Amino acid sequence: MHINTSNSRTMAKSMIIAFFLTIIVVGSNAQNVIPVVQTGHSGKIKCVNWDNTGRYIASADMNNDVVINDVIAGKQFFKVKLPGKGTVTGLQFDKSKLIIANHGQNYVFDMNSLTLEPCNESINIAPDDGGYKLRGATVKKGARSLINKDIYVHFTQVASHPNGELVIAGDEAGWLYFCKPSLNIIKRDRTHRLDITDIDYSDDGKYIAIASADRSISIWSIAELKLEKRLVPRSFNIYGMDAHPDGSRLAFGDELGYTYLLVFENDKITCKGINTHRSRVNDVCFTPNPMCVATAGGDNFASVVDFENNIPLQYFKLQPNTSKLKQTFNIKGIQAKATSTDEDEIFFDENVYSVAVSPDGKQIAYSGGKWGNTNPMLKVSAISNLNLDEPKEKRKKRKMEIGLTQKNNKHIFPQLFFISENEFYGLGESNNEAQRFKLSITGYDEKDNTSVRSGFDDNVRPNNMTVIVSKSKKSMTDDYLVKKDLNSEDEFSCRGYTITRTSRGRSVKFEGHRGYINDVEIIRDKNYLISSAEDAAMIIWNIETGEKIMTVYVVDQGKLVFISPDNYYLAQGDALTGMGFNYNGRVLPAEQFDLKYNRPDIVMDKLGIFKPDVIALYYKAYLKRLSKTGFNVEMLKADMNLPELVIENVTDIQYKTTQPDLKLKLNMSDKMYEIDRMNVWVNDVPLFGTNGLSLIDKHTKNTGTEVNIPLSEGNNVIQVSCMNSIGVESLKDEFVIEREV
Amino acid sequence: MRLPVVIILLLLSISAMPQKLIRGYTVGYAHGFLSHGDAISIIDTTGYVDESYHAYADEEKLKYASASSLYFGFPIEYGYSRHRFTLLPAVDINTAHWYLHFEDPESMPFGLSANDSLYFKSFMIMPQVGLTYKFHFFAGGIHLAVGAGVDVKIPLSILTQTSLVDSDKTEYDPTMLGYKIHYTPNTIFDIASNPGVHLSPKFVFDIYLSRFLAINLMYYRNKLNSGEHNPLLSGYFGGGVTYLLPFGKEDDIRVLQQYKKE
Repeated sequence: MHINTSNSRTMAKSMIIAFFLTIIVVGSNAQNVIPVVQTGHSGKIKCVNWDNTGRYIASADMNNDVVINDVIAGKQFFKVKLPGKGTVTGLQFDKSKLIIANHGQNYVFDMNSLTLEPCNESINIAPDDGGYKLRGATVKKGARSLINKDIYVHFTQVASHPNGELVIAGDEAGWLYFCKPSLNIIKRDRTHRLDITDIDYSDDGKYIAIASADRSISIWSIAELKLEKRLVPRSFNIYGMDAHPDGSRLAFGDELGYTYLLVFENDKITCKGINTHRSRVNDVCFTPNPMCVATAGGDNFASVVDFENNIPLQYFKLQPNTSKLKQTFNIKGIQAKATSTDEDEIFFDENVYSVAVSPDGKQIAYSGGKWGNTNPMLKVSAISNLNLDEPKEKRKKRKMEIGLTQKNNKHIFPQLFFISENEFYGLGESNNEAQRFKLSITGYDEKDNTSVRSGFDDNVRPNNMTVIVSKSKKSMTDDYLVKKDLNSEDEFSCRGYTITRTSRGRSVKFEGHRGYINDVEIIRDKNYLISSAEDAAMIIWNIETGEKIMTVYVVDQGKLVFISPDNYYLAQGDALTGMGFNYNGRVLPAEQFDLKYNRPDIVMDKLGIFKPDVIALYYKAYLKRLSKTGFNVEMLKADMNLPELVIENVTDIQYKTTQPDLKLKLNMSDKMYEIDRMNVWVNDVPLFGTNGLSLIDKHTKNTGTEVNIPLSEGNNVIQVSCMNSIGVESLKDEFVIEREV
Repeated sequence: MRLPVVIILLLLSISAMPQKLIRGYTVGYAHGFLSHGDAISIIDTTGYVDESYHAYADEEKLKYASASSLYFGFPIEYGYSRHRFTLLPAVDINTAHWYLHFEDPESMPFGLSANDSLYFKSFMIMPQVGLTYKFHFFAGGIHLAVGAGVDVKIPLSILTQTSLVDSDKTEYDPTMLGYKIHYTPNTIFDIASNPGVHLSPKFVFDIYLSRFLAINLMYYRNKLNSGEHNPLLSGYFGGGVTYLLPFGKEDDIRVLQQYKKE
């Protein structure tokens, strides 16, 4: 077959232009386009509800975040935070509205306008338990009963299929029991690891959504009782942070155990993540080498991480003898647990809560919890063999160290701070109290204590150093974290989701987080206050005004997305996959709005730390990117009609299929121009070639067609769009289908 | 040495399985009923030929003829569905009292009158390991369990006192007098005089007051009589309380490790 290369190339170019024109035009209507970072839930999910079409699933978590997922597009549609202190008790879709039952005040979320308003409507969900009752480790209905396979584990949910032919029960260990109406088990599965918190059947009865406290939602097909999809979180809460005295680096750690180093270089921002711990990173601290960071993990280890060699150099064990077997026979631990009234208390606490490295890089100190009824651990260890002051070639991985401790130590410090080569303070255990320790040949000796607010000597006040004045259990009504800037009178107190800076009687509030604050740090010469919270976000604020400058998300372990309050973003690497755009009630791939909102120049300008010539360079690069598509900035202001493409059988699309192809019924329309062509991409490969499938012969502004799409094994990312006769392309509709062979 | 290793290996292997081990502690009291239709042989070794005499449980003093068992231990449970096994390392503190009277007081070669009496008592500390199978069921929402098993008891610290008391309250040491008392194997006083490994079959019935707090009713067989006659009633009936604690659910934070992309 002869191919006219020149024509083909011209056509391809015109399609690219049309595509970006679409992007720009749509993008110009900024209030309708909202970037959505694919974070998922950052807390335990409490309830879940399908919409009437079976396309959307809404779920609410303990942080009062409501997440709506477009299950077919495989993307998070939107995330909204309920105001106030009440907790979400239920969700119910009413066409394109989501009614959110909340203690005290109900809300309605409009999926078209993306607005959340108080409402008087109440949800009226008929109980779907089918008369099956939960009684501890049993589910009962009349004489029929289902007994948990672990007799000491209680069932938490039961739901009967509307046709009465299936009963699903979930327990607090995450097990799912798929049963006949007689409660005979058909299948048992443990996709989830924590409590099953809600079960909801889709309106067509084909699928079921199961929410768990492990922050995920699983979707099962009823016909095959097969797991079709699992909606898992992609961003995790950031805990410990530390700002380097030079003001150009920020180290932080997340819930998954990754340690990150964010560097504000002269002309760019870089971030690197290293898998360090098997639990969350509670604290991080810079060493004298700005490329090496000490971490405190929840897995019984502190470590020193080398960001030049990209490895944890050495681990330091906190509790020397911990094992499940020991927990089994630790009678004191059993007794303590039996008599305790505090549910959150950890009896076999393996958390290292804080870490610090001496100014000469020769010693590390770390403080952790009690394991059983032992004393808490405060340890020190020599790290001179890590050669932190040497070039990276001289820094080698070392064997794990046990460290030195004092048997009679009673302290658990949330922060440690070296004031000299051989002296350090423990902070945050008692309000406004700093306990001094002096290193000795056998470890350390406890010395006097002093007031935190009275400060330390002038010569031990590194830049950007904030110290904990007090720390307590997180609360909406009391200050649970108070930190003080050592070089000023500023104090930062956290209450609920808000930070307040108090300085010389003047206070500034920092409002914008959606969860409890985990840590605050300052970078004084950049005028930044940086906070991390239990909403998977890190926010950079203007420390003077309280204005939100930038929200930072870590997506898929290491990909950073910076989003400005006006929705411009900077995404590192392929972090764009962690983004989506909500436009007119649909969630669309980020690429479609990339030209409009992927604006590193704007993001860097807003950060306010880069020189104008650097920003100008980024702006030039942006213009160049625009010009490659044949457009300029002025064209962003244009307004134009777009053709529309609707997948009519969208609700028939299965999440997984064994069929070799997929039939789509498409309807394409345009108010002004005839539909010229359409195209389908499967995993970025155009099904009908780059020119697409011509529909010009139909000479119509509204046409329907059916296409058979061959599916390859595994995931098939399918995109469909149409183009009108003047070359303007519709938005691409995207969904994912997995083919099993 | 092998047994502890086997137990540890067993525990390690089962703790690696998805079903969680449950452990806790238990304390209980059991009352043992002695037979009063039973006899015991006392052998006089002072003569050229050993002579045997019989003594019977004193019916008038039957209220003193009893045994008490106070035990505390640390049960470890593991199982699947309704079927669970309990391994119960425990310590049993056991006491027994038994007054006897003689078949023919006149023929007694020791003592001076028919009012002379024979009195046994024992005090034993017995480490034990019990293994019990339990079947769990629910009756009207109440969690119950029935089970059967065996306790392996190893008497360690034993204090026995056997006294022949005459009406004038003069005590005679039977060994000094040259008497031997013959205990039938596996009876309580035999255990006391011959330490070794003793097996006690037992039956239990548990009523769960809450998920992890259970009242235990039990019967276990441990011969209390001499064994020469079939007793009307023999064994221990008791009750106890067990508080079990699971290791807890999976750590909320560590569960997140499943989302790590290595």
